[in-house]
Amino acid sequence: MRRDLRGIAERTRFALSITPMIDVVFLLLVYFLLTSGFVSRERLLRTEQAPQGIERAADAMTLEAEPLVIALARGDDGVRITLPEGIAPVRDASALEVALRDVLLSPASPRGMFAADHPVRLAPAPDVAWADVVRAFHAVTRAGYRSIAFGGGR
Amino acid sequence: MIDVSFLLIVFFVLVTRITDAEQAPMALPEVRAGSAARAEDDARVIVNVLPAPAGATGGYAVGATVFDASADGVARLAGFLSDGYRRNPRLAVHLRADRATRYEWVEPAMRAATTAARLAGRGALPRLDLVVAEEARDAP
Repeated sequence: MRRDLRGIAERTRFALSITPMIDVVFLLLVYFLLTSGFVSRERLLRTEQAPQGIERAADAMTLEAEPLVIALARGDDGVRITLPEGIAPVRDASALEVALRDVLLSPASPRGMFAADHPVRLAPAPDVAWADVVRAFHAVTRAGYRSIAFGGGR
Repeated sequence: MIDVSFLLIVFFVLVTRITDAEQAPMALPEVRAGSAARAEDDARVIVNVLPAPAGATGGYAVGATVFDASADGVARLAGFLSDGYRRNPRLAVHLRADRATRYEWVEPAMRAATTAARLAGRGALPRLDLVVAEEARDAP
């Protein structure tokens, strides 16, 4: 009798309870599916207005500010950025951000040349890589300019 | 419990596949972490500039529909987008292009979004968002 009881106790001790384990495994599976599906590195750079350049019809009755044109061309070692006279030449997007911030008119720098809503035109040449265009666009927005159009590059 | 779990798995697998169909695989331009906005759940259409060798493109894809990279294809893309603008004048166009694709192939898609809003009329404003990838935070 005592031996039988001990046998039952041993069997009970080693019995594997499958149901809660499957529950936990499925919950983990669902958790990983959820996280892998929703963790995305994709972000957005918002353009305040659509690319104008070609599409925009000229309005003869409106006197618009001369846009600040930033030309992008393909150089030997990456992109070549050309700025209007009066702005220090730059070699890359980081320097572009600094240069444009230096000429931004703001309460902190009342001697700046351009207001934040001054039209800026990014004029990439057709063979410039999209990454360089985006980098330049991002530099202009980070410098504080809000009215940016694309087009006009040759 | 197992039945419910299976249903959830099937649901998420399906949702993931639908999301993948909208987003063509490509290497997006990268920006510093925290410097770009997260996508919101507003009305949007994703335009993929399909990458091809040497910075060219294989066309423009919206979901499963592919428009070829010709003047006719761009016009059809503009027509497709204008239908979206007619349904929702606040539609946002998310533009995805590979970092190596040349600007000459991206610009027609941007132009198509502008043309589409104009074709749709009814006060539709072209909202163009450039899709980028955020650099990993531990990157130097």
